[in-house]
Amino acid sequence: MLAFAAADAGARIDFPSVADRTVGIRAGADGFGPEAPWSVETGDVELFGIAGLRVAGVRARGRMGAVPAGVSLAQLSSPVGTESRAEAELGYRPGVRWLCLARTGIEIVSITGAPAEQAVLAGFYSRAEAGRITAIADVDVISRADAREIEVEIGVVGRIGSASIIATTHFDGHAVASAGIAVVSRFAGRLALLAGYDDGTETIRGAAVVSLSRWRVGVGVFQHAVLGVSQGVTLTWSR
Amino acid sequence: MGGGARFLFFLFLPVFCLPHVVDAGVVVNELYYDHPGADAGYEFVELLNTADAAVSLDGVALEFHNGTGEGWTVLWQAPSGLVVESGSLFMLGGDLVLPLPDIVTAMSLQNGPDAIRIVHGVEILDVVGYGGLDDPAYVETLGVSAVDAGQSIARTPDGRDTGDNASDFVESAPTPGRRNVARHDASATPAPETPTHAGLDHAGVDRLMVDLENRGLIQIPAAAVVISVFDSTVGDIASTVNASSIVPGATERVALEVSLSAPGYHWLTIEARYPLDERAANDRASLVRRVGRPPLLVSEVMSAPRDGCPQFVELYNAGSTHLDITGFSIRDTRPKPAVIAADSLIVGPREFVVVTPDPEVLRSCVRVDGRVFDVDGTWPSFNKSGGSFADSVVVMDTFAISVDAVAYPGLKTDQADLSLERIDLFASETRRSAVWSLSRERGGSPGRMGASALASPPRAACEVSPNPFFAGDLLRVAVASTDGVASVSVRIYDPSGRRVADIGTASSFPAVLLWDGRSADGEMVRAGIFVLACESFTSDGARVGVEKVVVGCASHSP
Repeated sequence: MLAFAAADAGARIDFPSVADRTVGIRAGADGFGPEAPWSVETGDVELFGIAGLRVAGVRARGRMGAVPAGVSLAQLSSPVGTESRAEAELGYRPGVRWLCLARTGIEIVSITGAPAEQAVLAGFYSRAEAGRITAIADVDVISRADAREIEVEIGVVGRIGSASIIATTHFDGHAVASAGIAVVSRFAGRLALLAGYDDGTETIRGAAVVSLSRWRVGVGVFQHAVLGVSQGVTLTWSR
Repeated sequence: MGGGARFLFFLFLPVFCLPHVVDAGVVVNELYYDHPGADAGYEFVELLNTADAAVSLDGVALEFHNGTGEGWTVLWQAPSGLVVESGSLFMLGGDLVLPLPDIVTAMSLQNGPDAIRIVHGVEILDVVGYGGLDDPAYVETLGVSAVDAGQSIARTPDGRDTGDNASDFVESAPTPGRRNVARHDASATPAPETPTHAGLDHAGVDRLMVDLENRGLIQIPAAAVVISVFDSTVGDIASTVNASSIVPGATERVALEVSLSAPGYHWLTIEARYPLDERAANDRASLVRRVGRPPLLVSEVMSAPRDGCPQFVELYNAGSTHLDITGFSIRDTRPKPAVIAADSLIVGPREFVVVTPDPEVLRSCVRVDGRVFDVDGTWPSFNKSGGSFADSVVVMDTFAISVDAVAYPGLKTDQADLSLERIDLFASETRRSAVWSLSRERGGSPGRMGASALASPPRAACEVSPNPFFAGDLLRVAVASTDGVASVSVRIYDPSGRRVADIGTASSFPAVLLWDGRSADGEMVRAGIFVLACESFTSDGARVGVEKVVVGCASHSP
């Protein structure tokens, strides 16, 4: 798969979910209780303490029988331009042990003083459970005008009592691998504390997620070895 | 003669005395009578045949009238056989006139008020009074006013003859042997929004607006004029052509983008190249552009000295090489610079110099290390009160381009005789009080690093240009530092924090690092937003700071 190695280096915009950013992968319901049939999530992360550099987004998800679906919008804004991403996903979940999602979307890069550039997105997400173990794979393909970029994330979640350990590996378009690990502890069903480290981004991550009725609030802090601290908040409503 | 007849005679006497000029086609078209310095050899009289047919000069003479006397004396008598073609010029002048006149002769004109005329026997063909002559017997209606030395009087347009010297002639740059108004003349001048002297903080593109004017009598066709910019160090760097035809008297504004990458001064020449052009003098204009700033910083300001002591401004060469600041000036918020008084002033690396209105008194008031200089002209008298903003100190180079400009806060009454030491050497014109710290000793610390400045932590600063930048360009990172910084490492990260490229490490300052937009494996990065980080380290490897700059990268320029 990595033979498709991209001709450019870079990264996609990540939706500003505090939980996803802390564990290093789209963990879904792992660690946060049962997955709700419908949810709307909004998030905002200030990056590295740099004025004007932040990523914000909104995401809606739902499920009709065995067919989950969702849409999301995210935008990275900065003093020199913006990167925006819109995507839709549709999947199949026959039971509680397996979930797969296919997604497509568009990414627009608008740099000040230059014409906007578009890229087409395609991706695939799969999660399978076997006992206390959940395996996750997430593939992103970004097709730009003159290059194609592929990123792969693989994660394994092991549950021990009320805690989960999440190990992730990330492959970028140049077959460069990086690894991360995260721990999630749940308390009384309403509070989850997350901590993690990713060597690809040289970031130590910590977050707290509080669930209150139909609302879930997550706050996170991310300490990069060179660039400093990022901080974010996520608010989710579900029913 | 009866009384009534006498009255009519005297009433019309001035009319009878006016010169009766015959329209024979030949007129004085241009007259140059006052050359700077000695006039001999430079004076000329240019004649023009305005008739539709050739005119013979047989019997024609050029005569001179001395305004302090009466009558005419012959300057030149035309030899037989001379003919001036229709519309042609014919010039008489000294042997130093270029191009050489048709007739080389010593003119012996005076600087006015005087007059010359062309006669044919008893017929007066033309009369020109000049230099302020107002005697109606020697002018046509009104004489031409006096002009500056080095200037001629010229009929404009050529051959204009309304019978009024003052109306027909204008002061002009001499054009011997050429028409006063060219038929083909394209001139190039910088538009008002394009200053003749300006500084660019970073290498990059400067947009020059040029006014291309048709000063001739004939329309300039589209694309007939090439407007180019010449950089004295690298040659032609930009060119374009006029987009549309330009009628006489009209102007087309032309935009030229020049890329200036080398730090330092660029002497640029804008030139309008028009193959038919008859006036080279207005084809060019000179500009000066400075890329980057000389590392001369305002490091201390004493705005409130104790009674009897003068103000001073301390300057610091933060660079690693000698800096020639001869002709540099300082000013406050008012545009009245005072030049630092020194025939030659070279500041060594890391050296302080002090500027004050009275060096001797300053030395008697306070310990001064290093060199002290007065100013030519009036001292700017920097304000000392005003809350968060009291005044600004602006240092300018010899072209009056700003080198450093800092604002400083006002002082309280109990802070008299304390100077403000600049502790943030990288702050430019800003009104943040954090830039400054009060000196810890009365009288300040002119010529040496103050205790407050010494206490400030080492820092590095990176300036990035162009930003955003385009694939294929070079991103230029200018690195400066304070004392105590041994190295600065510059890297590029994507917004997730992944390292994309190592641009390099600087270990002497100021330094410039370049990035070609490629990642560590040699591929061009995608279009997007990145973060450039400058990490500064001490000699023992301790990290003392990180400066972060958001950088935009686009695949295609607009």
